[in-house]
This record gives sequence, structure tokens and C-alpha cells, in this order.
Amino acid sequence: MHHAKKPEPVDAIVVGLGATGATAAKVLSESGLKVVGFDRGPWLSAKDHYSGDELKFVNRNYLWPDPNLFPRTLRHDETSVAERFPFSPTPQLVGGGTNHWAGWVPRPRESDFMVRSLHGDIEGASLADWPIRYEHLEPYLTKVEWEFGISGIAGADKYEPFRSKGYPSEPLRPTRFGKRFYEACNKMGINGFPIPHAMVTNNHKGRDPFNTTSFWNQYGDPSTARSNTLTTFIPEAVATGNFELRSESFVREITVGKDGRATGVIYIDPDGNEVDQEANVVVLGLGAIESARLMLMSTSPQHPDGLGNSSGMVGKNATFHEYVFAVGLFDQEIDDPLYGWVGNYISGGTFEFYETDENRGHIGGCLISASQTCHPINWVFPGRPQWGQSLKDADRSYFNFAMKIGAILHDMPVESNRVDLDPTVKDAWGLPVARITHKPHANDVAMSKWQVDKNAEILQVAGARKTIPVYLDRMTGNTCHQHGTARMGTDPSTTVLNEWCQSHDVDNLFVVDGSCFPTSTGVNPTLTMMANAWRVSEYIADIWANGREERINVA
Amino acid sequence: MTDLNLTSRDARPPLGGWLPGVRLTELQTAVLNAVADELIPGGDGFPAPSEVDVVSFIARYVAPAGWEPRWFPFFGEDHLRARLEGLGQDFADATSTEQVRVLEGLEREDPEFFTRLRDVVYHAYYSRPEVIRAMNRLLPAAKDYRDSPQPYGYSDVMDDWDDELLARVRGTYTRTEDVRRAEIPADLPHSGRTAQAQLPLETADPLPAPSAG
Repeated sequence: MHHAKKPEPVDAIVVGLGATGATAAKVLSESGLKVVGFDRGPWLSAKDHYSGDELKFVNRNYLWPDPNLFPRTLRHDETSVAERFPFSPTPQLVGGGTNHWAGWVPRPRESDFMVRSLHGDIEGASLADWPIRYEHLEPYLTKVEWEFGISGIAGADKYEPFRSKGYPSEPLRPTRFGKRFYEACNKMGINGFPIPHAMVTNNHKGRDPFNTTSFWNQYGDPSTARSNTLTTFIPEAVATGNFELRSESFVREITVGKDGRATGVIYIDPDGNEVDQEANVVVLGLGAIESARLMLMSTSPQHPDGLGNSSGMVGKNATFHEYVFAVGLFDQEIDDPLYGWVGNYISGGTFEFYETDENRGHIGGCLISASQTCHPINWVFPGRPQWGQSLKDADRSYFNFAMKIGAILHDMPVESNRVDLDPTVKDAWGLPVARITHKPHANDVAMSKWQVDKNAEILQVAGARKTIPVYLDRMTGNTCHQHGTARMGTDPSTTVLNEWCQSHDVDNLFVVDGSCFPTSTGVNPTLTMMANAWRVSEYIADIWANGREERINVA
Repeated sequence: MTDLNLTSRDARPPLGGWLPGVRLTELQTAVLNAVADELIPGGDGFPAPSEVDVVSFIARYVAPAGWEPRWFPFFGEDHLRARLEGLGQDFADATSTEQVRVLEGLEREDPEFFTRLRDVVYHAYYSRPEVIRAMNRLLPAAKDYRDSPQPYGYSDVMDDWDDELLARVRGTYTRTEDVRRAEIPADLPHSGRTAQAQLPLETADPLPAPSAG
């Protein structure tokens, strides 16, 4: 074991430089704090490394963690031994999930912050209100929309809560499959609208949106059209002169002093040296799985069950937004082509089914949206033949004549659905990996069934000749959406963080990713996470760092 | 406690595969071509895989002997050679019907190997310029298809907004202030595997990566 020279202490450490960590790095360094940011992955150049190469990005894990080096394990009940499974993998590199994402950034709804007061307790779930409300987040939603670059039409979503400002960019033109969706919605009296998208379509902040089609999700964008913290917030943080970025540096422990407060982190640098970095405050933005893992790995006599875990709630109430959908197949002899293979996830969506309607037999609901069927070579639809002449025939018939309407499953928090440390499986550093234990709540299954059937109905109105539903079976982690493992709330005995995402136990530990979400919401979470990270970082810099504290009382 | 013989730099596959690729023998090449031609039959203006040299592509992506096959297509040189030899000259010389029968047997008995073989053949075939040209020529909506869409994107795939398209409707949505506590029905379906009966054979995207986000 090598030990490198100990670097100078700094004001703040940010661990994980994805959507939320990069937001924290920007806000903290722009406020004048000296910040060091760590990412376990490389710091790539979008222009040089990114393209539409399907083999590189989809099949060979260019952006994704190698499951051999960084495994996770999964089990569906308490008694099974968890097996290795790439559950909810998220790109491990500077920019994190904003490197690959489709970039849907709808706003949350007011109801998302008060699920328990609206519904009471339901059996088997651990519903909770957030310790903040939509109004606390609204100014920061606007900041992210403008600073990060989001396109959309304010007001097109008839059900959106109050917004203080429109969007900086016009939406992209509609895709062919998006048009089918809009037409069907108009026939059915559904409010379809272009989903706000994390890309710019004008010269916003000097960016160059020269490509508005072709591959988005799972590939890096070589242009500056799509909003990626790698090409926006990270350079802005670096430009302050207050931010130092250490990539390919794996933080394995948060260290504590005798008083139990965080003193910094231990990380492994790119050359394999183990290094101590001290700071006044540690901010975690690794994502809800890895942030929980790091807290659980950071044990000490003062925090024997993991850092910030006196409640025993770190890792629990994990929610994951399984993506469920219906596929519609059209007829190439009669119908217009849909171009479902070109990537470009932007299209229509609706909040029509978002709020609880007891006639549906479940509580809550989700955002639904029209999307592509898959990548050109890796394309697939349920029931597609595996090989040979029948496969060739199916591909010729449907390659341009298939689309999906999907839903981000608004899954209910369940205390036993959790992330903990696997008792046997280790990563390449010999450290225990994150183990996911998950069994869907009955409401999740009911919501998936109802919504996927509704999506199939919309596809039929859109002209699909055949529809194929894909319901929730088990949680497979097929989105990068992770939440709930360090819930925020007012009661230190049942929650991990307070309303500022500050540990109840350790006053200089903050968690700014989706870990803090008490409930999962039914929208793509990144905009909400980034707005919340901005809110918390501003609090750290302006209030906490000056020795003051504030409280939010929503009662 | 930390044993670090590798860094995250080791976590990346070689771009473009290994160069030069593995050199397959004449027999191995013949068998691989025969397999590929049954997996994706040519015809109707599309070339057969053996006509567009899928073998060279595959040979570049096979991990050479001594390298662990850690990335797609997860084939090691020695293993692939042995499997192709196992099928042998008999397979290469067999009729199409016999070859299909052998492959169906392989699919049943060793689905993991079969799936990997199918996936890499599929990738090799659909990245060949001749095949892309055939798609451009023969599929009405693939005129614009390219295997390298960046940085220009596609021109035919979007449409313009018109007044009809954007919804003017306010549907049946319940605003948050109107949401009322709902009684949860007693007969919610049980979670877990019971829902699977409704699943089609092949479910969601087969990739470990997310679909939305």
C-alpha cells in the first residue's frame, strides 16, 4: 500500500460529480468556498470521446460501470442469497448520468411532496411527506432550467403547478412517433405536450445545437446541444478557480473525528495510492445506491452502524422507478413510418393520469410518454423472433413501424426494500458491494397494470394494429432513477437527513442526490434532484458555513 | 484491506476491437459463415452475411488468447475456435435444413453461447456498408439510415409543429388541491411473480442499461 502526501485541507468535498454533485460543485465554488470534487470515473472530453457508435456505447459499456469490477447484487425476498446483477447502473464518470440520459426534465407536482397527507397510511408501504413543498423548490427549478439549458413550452402542460419563468429554449420539432401520440391524445381528450428536454435548441449560453436528431439515450453527445454537467456546470465550477477535480479517484470512506463529525474522506487515486483529504464539510452526490453504500461502509466507534445511521434507516425505503410500457406495431403497407429507431427520445407525454383516482384501484400515478423502440442494431420488441428467416421477416416489417408509450413507475416506498452491504461479494477494491433487496408493493403492480393497459389503448387510438403490454414483474432497475435511501424528514429517529439534506447525526455531512427523496414521485427525477442540490448547496454556503441555521416548517 | 492491482482505467474495452483480429482457419471461417447465413438469411436484395465478410468484424471483437473476454461479445479466441471446430466440416457442408436443425439444438442446449453468437453476427451484419446501402435502397423509411449519425443526425425523422398538434384540451386530470384520500381496495394483486403470466416471451429492452432518464 502506497500513501501519497497529504493534500491541503479544503472547505468542501463533493463526492460524485454527476447531476447533483456537479450542481453542488458549481454552487459552492461560485460562492467562494474552496472545493475538491471526486469522481471514481474518468474526466472525458465530449467532443473527442462521444459519438453515435452503437457498439461502443450500447454493447461495450463505454459509459457504464464494468459489472466485473463494480458488481451489485439483487434479491427479491429476504431469504434468498443475492445474485450479481447490474441493477440500475449509472455511468461512472464526470457528468454521471447526464452523459447518457434521454434528458426528460418535467417538473414534479405539488402532490409529490405530500403523499402521506393525501393518502394516509397504506398497508405495507411507508408513505411520508417531504419536509419541503413545491414552493420551496420552485425558484431552484427555474434556476436549473435556465442555467443548465432546458427546452419546452411553458403552459403546454396544462396541469403544471406555478412557474416563475418560461423555458430558455423552444422545444424540438415533433418526432413522427410523437405526432401519433399527440393525435391520439387530442382524440381522447388527453392533454399531451412536448416533454421538457435537457437540451438547447438555440444559442443559449453560447452553446451550439447543430444536431437535433439521432442517438440520445445511452450515448454521449459530441455536440453541446444536450445538457450534460460535464460540459456545463463542471467547466463553470473550474472557471471560478475554487474548484479542483480529481477524477478516477475512488472514495472508500468518510472519516470522522473524536467528536463524531466528518473530517474528510479517504480515497484511492489513479495510481493506487490511498490518500486522506480533509474538509469542513462533506457533500455526497453518488446516487442513492452508492451514497448509502459509502455511508454504511464508513463505520467508526462513534458511528458503529455507518455514518449518519443512528436511525438505522440508511439504505431503506429505496425506490427505483421501473420503466414499464406498451409497444404498438403498425402496418408498413398502410401506415406512415414512425422512425422509432433514430434515438431522439424527445416526444409527447402527459400528466393526465398522474393524480390519484380511486376508480383506478391504486393510489398515485405516473408521467407517461411516447418513445422510440430501441437502437438500430439492438432493436427489439416483445415477441420478436430470435433468428433466421422469421426474424428477418419481422425486422423488415416493423423496423420503422413500431413505437412505445412508457411510464416511469411511481413506486411506493417500502421499508424492507433497501440497499445494504452484501455479506460476501466484493468489488475490485475488496470492498463490500451494494446489495438490493426489493419486492414490489401491491400498489406498484396495480399501477403498472392499469397504466400499461391505458398506454396500449392510446396506441390503438394512434393507429397501432397490434399492441403488446409489458407490465411490472420484478424490479430490475432498468432506469438510473434511485431514491429514498437517506430520507429527509423532521424526526431523527425515523429519517436520516433534515430538510436541508443535512445528516441529523453529523452536522457537516450533506447528501444532495435522490437518496433524500422520501417518496419517489412519478416523474423523471433529475430536475427535482438538481434543483434540490442547488437549494441545499446555497444553504451550505450562505447559512451553514457562516455558523447559522434555519428551519423550514411546512406544518 | 485495499488490494489495488487495477485502476478504473482497466475498465475500458479496446475501441475498435483488437488489431489485428484473430485469424480463423479456413474451416473455422467456413463454419462461422454458414452459421451467420442461417441466423440472418440474405435475399430480397439483402446480401448474405458470408458475402459481406462478417468474419473479419467478429475476429476483431473476439478476445485474443490470454485475454479475459470481459466485454461484448464475451468470446475468447480458444473457446470460439473450439466451438466452431466442434461444428466442423459436416456442418459447413450440410444443407440449409440440416444447419437450421443443428442451430435449433444449440439454441436449446447452450442458450448462452447461442445468444452471444447470434448477437455478434447481428452486429457484424448490420454494421456492414453493403447492408446499410441495401437498407437505404430497399426500406422506404431507411433512406436516411447511417451507421454513424453524429454529428449531423437524420433529416427525415421529424416534422413541423402545426396548430392541430398541440393539445388545447384540458382533460380529466385532478389538481393536487382536489385530490382526496382514497380507500385502497382489498383486492390489489399480489406483488411479484403472479404478474408474469401476462408477460410476453421477451420483455423489455434486453440491455442492462436504462430506457428512460
